[in-house]
Amino acid sequence: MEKLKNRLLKYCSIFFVLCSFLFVKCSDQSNVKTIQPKVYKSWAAVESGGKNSSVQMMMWQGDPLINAYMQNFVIPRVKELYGIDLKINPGQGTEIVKQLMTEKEANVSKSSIDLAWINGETFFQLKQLNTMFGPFVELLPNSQYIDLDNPFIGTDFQQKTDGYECPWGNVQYCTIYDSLRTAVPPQDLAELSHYLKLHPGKFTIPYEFTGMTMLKSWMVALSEDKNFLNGPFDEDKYNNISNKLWNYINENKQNFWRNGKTFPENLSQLHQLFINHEIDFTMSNNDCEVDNKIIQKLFPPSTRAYVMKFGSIQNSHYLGIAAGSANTAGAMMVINFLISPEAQLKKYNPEMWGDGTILTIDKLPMEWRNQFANVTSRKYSPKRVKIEALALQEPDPEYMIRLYRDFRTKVIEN
Amino acid sequence: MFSKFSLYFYLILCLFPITAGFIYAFLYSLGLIGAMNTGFTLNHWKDVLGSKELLSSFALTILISVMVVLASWWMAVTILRYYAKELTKTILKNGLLIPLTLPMLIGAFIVMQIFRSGGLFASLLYKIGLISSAQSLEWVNDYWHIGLGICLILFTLPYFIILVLQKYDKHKIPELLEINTSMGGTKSIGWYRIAMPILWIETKLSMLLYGIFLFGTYEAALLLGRQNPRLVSVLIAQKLRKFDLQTIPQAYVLSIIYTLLIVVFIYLFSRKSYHEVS
Repeated sequence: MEKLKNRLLKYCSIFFVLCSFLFVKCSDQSNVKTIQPKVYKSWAAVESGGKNSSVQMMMWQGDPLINAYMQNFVIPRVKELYGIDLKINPGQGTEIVKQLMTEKEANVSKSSIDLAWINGETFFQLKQLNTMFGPFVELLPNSQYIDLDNPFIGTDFQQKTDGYECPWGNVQYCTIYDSLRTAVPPQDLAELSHYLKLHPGKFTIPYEFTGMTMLKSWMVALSEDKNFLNGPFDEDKYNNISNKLWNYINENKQNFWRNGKTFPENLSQLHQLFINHEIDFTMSNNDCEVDNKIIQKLFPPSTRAYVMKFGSIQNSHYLGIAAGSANTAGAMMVINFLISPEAQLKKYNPEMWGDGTILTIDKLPMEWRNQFANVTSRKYSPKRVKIEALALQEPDPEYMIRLYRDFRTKVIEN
Repeated sequence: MFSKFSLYFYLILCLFPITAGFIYAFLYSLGLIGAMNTGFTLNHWKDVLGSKELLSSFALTILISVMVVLASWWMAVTILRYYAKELTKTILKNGLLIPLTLPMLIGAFIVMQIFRSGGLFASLLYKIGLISSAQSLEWVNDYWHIGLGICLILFTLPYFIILVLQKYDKHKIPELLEINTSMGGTKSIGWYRIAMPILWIETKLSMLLYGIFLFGTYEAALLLGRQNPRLVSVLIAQKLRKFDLQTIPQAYVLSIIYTLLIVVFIYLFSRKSYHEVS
């Protein structure tokens, strides 16, 4: 028995040492022979390399209208125009990061993702991991219609995109309410406190991306300076203003849904609470969400959206190409189509998706300008011109990371 | 020869990937591998071991697993006591298998729809006047984990009923109870002194294994559990998936602690069983 034990121990030790050596050796990035993405000098070269190929795209697939836009319009159109087989795989944010990180750690030479729909914090993570292909945006013919100097488009979470991701759509955070239930919605944090005292339990903050986006605008409101969070992450600034934020939330949370003891973990749960009349407010990062949801008959026609008077975060979402993609040309062709006036116009229509365009309308040829002007206007969402004046820039991604962490420790666990 | 081959096959197929995964997690937690790691560090271990969350999450997970297993076992044995004859009928027996065929995620959704505030159960209680509003019943993401407990019991109870029924027949408990009665013992004494100890001893190992299975439950805990403290599986998944890439090694630290805890449980149990047998 003792002999068997010793032998087992010996084999286990050998196995452990061997595995450790193997893992450490395999994770050594210095000798990795990854595919060097082909650098294209001209669009004609891209077209000849990308036509009749297959492109794998990873994107969030949680909205039936967005899915229909991709399946019924984009996929057939890129096939028809360029012979490209666009294959869409479900996955968003952290899943994209995990996928590319795992591939990098495993030294996979060819990525399973060519193209991905990303936004600021994903871009930040992918850049940290050095898993993005680029710069490529200036090579795209349709990028001439995009104003990359616009800070809401060319800067993502305070980081210059530098051609490593291409803007696809632009949205602004809005608070959503039912005008039949809430005749006069609160316009600032003091009014919100007052509203909560009168209607306890009718408000909550989702512990996810949109909720944290709202908290960023609350920090700006508490600082009373529209540009307070602009620039790189500042520890002192954050500590100072976040203390005020946690105090405000903790002072009011006994009047939150379920006395602020629990918070919804995702936006669909928040929407459901709103539909069930459990809460009076929901929210969205897409300012056209109300039209979108009323068309889908999820929200009643009396639903409206607005921006509180201290403003809300406006940001763009982007398309990026994986550094390990074996078909960067095909991915660039798909992106060029997605930012074309044709695809953007279709996406702009609230009945299709209702996503704000990243094109500068004045830069477009006259025929397209007219078509954009004639799109059936949003019926229930606030007019873009009206809320754009209240737009705040996305702060550095570190603010988001800290908000996530501190919301848990200072609010949920408090 | 064949048994030796089976053993090697088992070792290669089951133990090799698990052990390799464990070693990978260990090296990752020490900063020796991983895209974001920069070299050897004990900081991830210090962060996890110094957090309040570690103890509260593990304690909560153990408590819920033990409570669910014990409650299900007690219910299964009580049902068996009063409905042993009915349970031998094929329709009932097969009916018990239905919940076991459902994925946990579906079960969690069903429980959520029925027991959430404003859900089916709350509406029913409201209609008959037992609660003041359909929104006042909170059994999902609630403080006491009632919704999660119901969901886990719904999955555990049918399995335990089938298990105790099998042991009940195998060990001829009805006959033993009859002997007890014929010798002047009461039914109650027979049940508590004869039937229950036999069933307890015979199902102990299955209870432990099921407890370990519940210890790792994820979908139900994510949908129905409380946010603070979180069950261990949810805590690990969130450390892996949130936006901060720096918390990934912490998730691996937690996974290692989790695995070691299970190994210690099994070791202690097997040692106890060995001594009992000796």
